[in-house]
Amino acid sequence: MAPAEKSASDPAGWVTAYGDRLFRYALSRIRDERAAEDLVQDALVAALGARARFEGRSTELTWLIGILRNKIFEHLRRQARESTLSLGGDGEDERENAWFEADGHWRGSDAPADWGGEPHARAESDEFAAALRGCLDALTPNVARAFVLREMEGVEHGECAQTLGVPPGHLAVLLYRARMRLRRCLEKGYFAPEAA
Amino acid sequence: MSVLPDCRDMSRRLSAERDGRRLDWRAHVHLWLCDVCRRARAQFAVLGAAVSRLPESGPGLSDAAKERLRRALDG
Ligand SMILES: [Zn+2]
Repeated sequence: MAPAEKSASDPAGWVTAYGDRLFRYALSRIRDERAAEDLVQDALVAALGARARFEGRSTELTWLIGILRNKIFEHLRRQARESTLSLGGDGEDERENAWFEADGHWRGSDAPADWGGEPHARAESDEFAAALRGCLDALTPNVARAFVLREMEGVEHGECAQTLGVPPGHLAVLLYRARMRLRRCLEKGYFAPEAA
Repeated sequence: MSVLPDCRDMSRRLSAERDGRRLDWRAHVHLWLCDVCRRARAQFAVLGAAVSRLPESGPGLSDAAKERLRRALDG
């Protein structure tokens, strides 16, 4: 065997070594097990073909995640193209208006409540992660895609709009809906049960 | 207060702030006066931080899926 410090390891070991990590990465972003599996497979097959180009500048896992990330973007782009791009028409506007009184104040039961002592610390628990996953699943797909790209992937606003094929103003509305619904969903499903 | 954004407008600005748009002085005054919007701002931040950590937990691949992947890499 040639010295292997700068080349990729044997692909036969990839599934065992990285399969779970890659799958969790994909699943958390697209929330569809079958599609996540397919994307991991696409990424590993692509990596197999590109193995010679792995130069050891990053860890092998980082390299594989980079490839997987591109596959996820392609997937989100494809899904966005296939979905309808209208902002209204499905009762979304009414739901949004229901968060506020006519005078622009928060409506009582929809107003952000106190999440208690250290919400950032509590948000690190497994229970919170499970609740957040449930809340992401409850978002409409185009809203969820926008949120994943922007907040999870940290893709800059303009690039995010381009990837999803929507004008920047439209993306801002999608992100707003995502944050408002996730906030409310977590408040009802996670923070409220412990509230005084 | 009329020169200041209302809470509905603020909630949109707070979302835009997460995407890189700075709050103007009117928005800052509103935040100073309104503890509910301050909460909304903090909660958006908690959401953003939590969602970027999400991949580190959750179920892994099933054995059947791993077998499929190994076959795909073999073939
Ligand atoms: Zn307010």
